[in-house]
Amino acid sequence: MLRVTGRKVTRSSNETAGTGSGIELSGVDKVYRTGRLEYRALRGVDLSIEAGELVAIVGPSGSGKSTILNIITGIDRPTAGAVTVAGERIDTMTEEQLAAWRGANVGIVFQFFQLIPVLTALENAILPLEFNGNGAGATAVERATGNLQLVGLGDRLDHLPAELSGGEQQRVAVARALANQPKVLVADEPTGNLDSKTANHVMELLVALNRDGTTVVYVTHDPQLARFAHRVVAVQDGRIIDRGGEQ
Amino acid sequence: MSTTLNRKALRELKQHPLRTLLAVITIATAVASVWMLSVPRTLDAGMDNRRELDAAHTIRLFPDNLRYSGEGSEAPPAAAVISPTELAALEELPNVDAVDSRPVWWTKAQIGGRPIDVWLVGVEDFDGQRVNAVQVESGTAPADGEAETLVDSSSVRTGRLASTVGSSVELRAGDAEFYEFTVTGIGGTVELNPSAGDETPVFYVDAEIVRLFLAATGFNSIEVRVEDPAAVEETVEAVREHLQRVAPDASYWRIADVVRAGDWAGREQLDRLLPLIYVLAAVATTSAVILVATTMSTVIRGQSRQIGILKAIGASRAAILTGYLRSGLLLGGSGALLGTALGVLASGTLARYAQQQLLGIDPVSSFDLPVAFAGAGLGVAVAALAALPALRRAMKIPVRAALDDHGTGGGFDRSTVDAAIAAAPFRRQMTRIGVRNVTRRTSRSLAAVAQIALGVAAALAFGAFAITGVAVSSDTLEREGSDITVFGEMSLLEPEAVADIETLDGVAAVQPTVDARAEYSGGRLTIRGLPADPIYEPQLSAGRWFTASEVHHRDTVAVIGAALAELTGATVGHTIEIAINEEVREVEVIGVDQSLVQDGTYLWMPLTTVLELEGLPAPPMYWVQTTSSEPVDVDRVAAGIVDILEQPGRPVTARARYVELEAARREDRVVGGVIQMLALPILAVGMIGLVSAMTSNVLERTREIGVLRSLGARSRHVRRIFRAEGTTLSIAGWLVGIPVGYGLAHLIVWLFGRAIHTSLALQFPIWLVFTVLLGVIVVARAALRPPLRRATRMQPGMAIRYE
Repeated sequence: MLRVTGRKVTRSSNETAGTGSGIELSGVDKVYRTGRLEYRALRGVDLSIEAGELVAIVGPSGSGKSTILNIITGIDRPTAGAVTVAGERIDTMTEEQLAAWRGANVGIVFQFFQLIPVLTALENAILPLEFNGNGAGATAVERATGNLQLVGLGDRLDHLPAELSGGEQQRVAVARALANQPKVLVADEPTGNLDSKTANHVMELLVALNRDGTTVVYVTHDPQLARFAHRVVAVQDGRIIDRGGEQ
Repeated sequence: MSTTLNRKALRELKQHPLRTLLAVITIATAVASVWMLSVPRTLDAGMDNRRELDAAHTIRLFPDNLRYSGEGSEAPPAAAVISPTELAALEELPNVDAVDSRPVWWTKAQIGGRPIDVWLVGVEDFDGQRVNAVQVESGTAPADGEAETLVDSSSVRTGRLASTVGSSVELRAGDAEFYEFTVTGIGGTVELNPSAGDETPVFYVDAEIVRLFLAATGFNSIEVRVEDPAAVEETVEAVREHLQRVAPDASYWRIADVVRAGDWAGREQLDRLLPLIYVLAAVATTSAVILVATTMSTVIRGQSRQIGILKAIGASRAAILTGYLRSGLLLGGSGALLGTALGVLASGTLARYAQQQLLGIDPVSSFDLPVAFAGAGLGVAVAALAALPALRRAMKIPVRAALDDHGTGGGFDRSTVDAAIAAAPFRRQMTRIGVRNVTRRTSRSLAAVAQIALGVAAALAFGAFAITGVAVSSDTLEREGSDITVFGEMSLLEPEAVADIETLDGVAAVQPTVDARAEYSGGRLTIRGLPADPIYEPQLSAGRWFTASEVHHRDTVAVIGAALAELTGATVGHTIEIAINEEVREVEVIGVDQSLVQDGTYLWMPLTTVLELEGLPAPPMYWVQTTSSEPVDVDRVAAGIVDILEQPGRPVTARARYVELEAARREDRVVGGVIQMLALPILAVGMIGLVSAMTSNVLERTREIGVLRSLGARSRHVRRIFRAEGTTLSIAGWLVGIPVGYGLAHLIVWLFGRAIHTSLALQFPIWLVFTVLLGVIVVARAALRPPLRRATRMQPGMAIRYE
């Protein structure tokens, strides 16, 4: 059984829950265009997530749940509507501003881990610190090592992704997402490629991070994993059909 | 099934337009590089065309047939008048198509306040020219009997003369006075206009004006055009026999000029460059083939998953192969078409430049059908064949593995190379990623390195060749030692008058010399007569220089140039036979000179011996060494010499050698320019290889770029990663290119040396190696811009979803 070990993620008082790490989607539409074809992925989505919440987004394939995550992280831009995350309107930002903003505020965990194959676990975990201008020196190594220890990989620092199991790779991805102590952590099917045992371990990790004050939003199509969340938002055909008791 | 697969292959080409375009451009570059081989043929065609238009001569004879009758002039020794009737009789000889004659004279023109050497060429009748017809390219021909001139277009085109139609120019007459002429036109004829090796400007005037200038009658140039150039040797003999019969006492001021079939002025210089062009074409084609093979491999590599799907649903091996081979053929066909267009354009531009700058003719274009077939065939064949190994590899991938291949992989592991790269202490993660990425696609990186290496090798080799050429040329020119060459234009200088030159301020030494033309079994050569202690510094590789005693006794001994030694097989102690003034002499070889005066075909003999062989009572020419080599000082001394020696009716030339040096350097620059332009396709292919590899990497790592952007990477971070990768490939290519370039430099210097029958010492300075590195980095940065722009402009969402 995986235990969340090592140091605890600590925050200063102004970084803790309830101080601008909430998420607000208002009237969001998203249309994908491929040649002459248009695909409307989101239709007038309104969603509010409080700081410190642990929210699961569920729905069938193609329902728009991953698109909601992409809109929250600024990876995709809404065709219409407004998006406010961690106190900032991100739908009006340029790509460069968005990249900087993401580096400072958001941690992302992908379904297929998406580690950089030429970097070791430690180097992958340091990467966002460098993007944010904090990558040099012992402090960065210390922080990244701490995050890897936090996910139970203190003994795998110099391993390349190809030398790690799927579960270990996903934990490196979590450690990487924590590098800049993000206010919001989003995970897109974080356990999609893992066996059920390892999937539970990863989910426990996300729960522990949320307990320490991080707003966590994740997408899953597995009802068992949705149970870890405080609130489950259901999406279908680009619309939210159940807000899971949103205030 | 196969029809559907064909449709699929076609649609995939449309689906990935950038990749398809890159493949087509790559193949096109390979095809275009083959077109380099068409340049010499286009030059040939241009000259043939121009020679036909001008009715250029096949045989030209130079009789001493101007009879000076003006006041103060002296009749030339042993001059015999060949009458117009006797001349016209030449046309009755077999194979003679047309005969023409003209007076020509070496004189001076006042240009920009300073006299320069020019040829004055007389035309009997501008409306009825039979041989070497002067073409009027702009303006009009000079009118009969008027002080009007047509300036040669080569000198105008190359900027040696700034004359325009309507401007005026001062030309010096036999009385040493300058007379003003109006420039009525620009043009000329290919065999008389300046060309490589003799850049003296030419002024065409009415023949009567030349005679008037010299107070002379007659002509000193007979030009014969034959019907069948292949039988020119027999015609030369017939012409000589005829002239011997009708004018037995005629002497000739220059050896006959015979243009053999396919020959033209400057052809010899071009032939020397041919081996270099073949080497360049071979290197360019090799580089291009590597590039095409890599591109096709990349295209097929990206299809692994598709092939897996096709195999999973039961497609046969043959059906899959046929479909992809058709894609290869389609890419090859498109590349061949584009490459042919590019090749025609590039080789046409190069040929045009060479025709104008080297040959001084109006450029013509020609479509080289054999090269077109070779290029297009290469494009199609290489594209199809290059796809086969990649296809075979792709077919061997198990279906499951192929289905899981998203084309993002590529290994980086614990192998020795990867471990060494991983241990490199890069401070920045981006640099680390970029450098490590190099080994993720080993074969692609190796191909890019190979192409850059070939580009670097070509730049180094041809740079070293140019440096070697300039060094040899400068060394040769410096060895000649004199700053001014002095000679009487119509009569020999009096030795007593020459003695006065030595008293001039700024004169360090004066030395008599004489040049004579002769023939040996292998062709023509020049004999130069010098004293026992010449200003000239020979570079003896064997034997010795002649002694004062040998000079005193007029011994027939000689120091021969290295090329002449190789051509005749003679060395110290041997004798060679030469024909001078129709008389065969045996000359004993006492030394071999390595310097490249006259390309190493000189024969140095005692001054006294040559004067005797030529039947001259006194030296016709003097070398003057000045105390200062500054042009202003040399000009001042030259003007002083003319003041001392020149008398009415006896013009004197004091030619400053720095002008020749400038002309030689200008020629070096033009030849160097052509060689560099020839080397450009290799560099272009190398850089396209880099762009191709980097674009493929960017495309393949699109999702990775999306992830990096999602993690907060700014444009500069992404740029840094790919720039580090590109720079690593470039530096690796540079490192590999150094030994290859060194070997290639040796090869081309050896080939060139073989063409001029001598050996050249290669110059390969270290600064050249680092200059090329700088160039590679600068060009690589420019070449990386398009893939980098693509990498940084991707929206993270689209990048992550990219397949």
